Amino acid sequence: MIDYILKFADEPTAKTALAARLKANQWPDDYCIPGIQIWRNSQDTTDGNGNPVHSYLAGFYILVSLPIVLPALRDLAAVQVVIDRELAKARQAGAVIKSNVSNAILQDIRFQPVFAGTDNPWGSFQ
Amino acid sequence: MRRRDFLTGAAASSLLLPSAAEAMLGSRRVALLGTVRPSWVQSGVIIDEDFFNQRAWPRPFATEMVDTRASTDWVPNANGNLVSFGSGVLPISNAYLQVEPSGSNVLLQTAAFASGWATASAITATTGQTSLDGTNGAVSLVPGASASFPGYSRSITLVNGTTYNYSAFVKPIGPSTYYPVLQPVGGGVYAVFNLASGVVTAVGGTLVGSSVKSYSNGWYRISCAVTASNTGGSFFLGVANSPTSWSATYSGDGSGFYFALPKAAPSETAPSSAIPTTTVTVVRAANAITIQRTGIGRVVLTFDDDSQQTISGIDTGSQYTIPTNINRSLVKRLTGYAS
Repeated sequence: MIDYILKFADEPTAKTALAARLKANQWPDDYCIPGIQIWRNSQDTTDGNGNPVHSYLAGFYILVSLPIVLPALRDLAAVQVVIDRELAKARQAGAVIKSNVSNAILQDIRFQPVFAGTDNPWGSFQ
Repeated sequence: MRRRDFLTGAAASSLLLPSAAEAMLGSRRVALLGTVRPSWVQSGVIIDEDFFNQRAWPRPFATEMVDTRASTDWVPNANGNLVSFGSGVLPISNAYLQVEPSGSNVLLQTAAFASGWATASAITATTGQTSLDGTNGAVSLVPGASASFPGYSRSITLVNGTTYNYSAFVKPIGPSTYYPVLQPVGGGVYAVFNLASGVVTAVGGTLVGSSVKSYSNGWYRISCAVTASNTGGSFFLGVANSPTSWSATYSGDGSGFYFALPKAAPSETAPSSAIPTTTVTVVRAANAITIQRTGIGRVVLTFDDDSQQTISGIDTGSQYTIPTNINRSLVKRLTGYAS
């Protein structure tokens, strides 16, 4: 599976940009996760019980997963990163198909939720 | 007199058994005459997918249906063991086709209790135990004699006002006159489960739902649902020495429970399929299972409890996608008719 992470100003903007993917104006829940949380691991703090506290990045993020690399989706300006899920799980080179963020940021970001079966090399994307 | 194939006139090599050539010719005979309906398929049926008995007519499961979901699914076998099916692979175990809407698990580190879990009050937690999903991801929880409210806990972040279904798989250890406990976050309530009777006792508050399900592999799945009254807290897996309370005085005889794959699922009152997690929350994608043919106007589903559901008025001009809001998620058999 190819996981596309896209960023928009808000959800209505995302729906306009990805209108062709909607089903009755709803996000298809067989391959999309709207409103995912993204944070920078380096910006985490801890609460009084030692649990991490994330500072979520502003914007509306969506995870779209397809079995193929779709150039029309991959090349959207809203794309943040495109990941080959199986290569990432295997910790193999080439897992990052495209990234519109710097490598330093890519290694620092975390996001959730992910689709079941995902095993991302957090902090060491290749 | 030797039998002869009516197509070729060739003599059969055996009076009793068909030769390989005769079997091949027999298949040609079938193909020429049209697909022969086996005796287990009723007259008038267009497709019959018998997942429980692992047989399909007229085409194999993977030819007849596709599922485009983008996540792994964990499906129970006939004995309750969980089998994983990758993205886009039909979720058919040796007993069931699983059809579910999307769901999630917001409780972290449930695949193997790798970090962030803490013991409470003289309970010994040993990870790396054999689980029902083929991994060593279960944990054993055994209270000592000085235990008081013995449990295993982890913090969890919630959305205030959302109902969460909390569940776990459990298996007794030793003589085990004890009872497993789930203490969800919110409502001040905990649930004590009597595995033998299936009775669930809510202590200190009200549950939105609860259940006990037993499997032939010795595991049980316990669950309870509570509406969150804050944005987080500690979730406990516990061991009680009474079916109606979680308190003190334990024999310390080595009794306890294996726990596996706990889950906190938002917006669910009954447990859906397992979703292992590690460092982040995880979503199970909705199934999108489509029958690869037109002409089906009615479908009959037989579920794991042998109840049935009939879906009529299907557009015979289109391929049919099984809805995810069917009565139950585990389908033993799917039969399709023209009308």
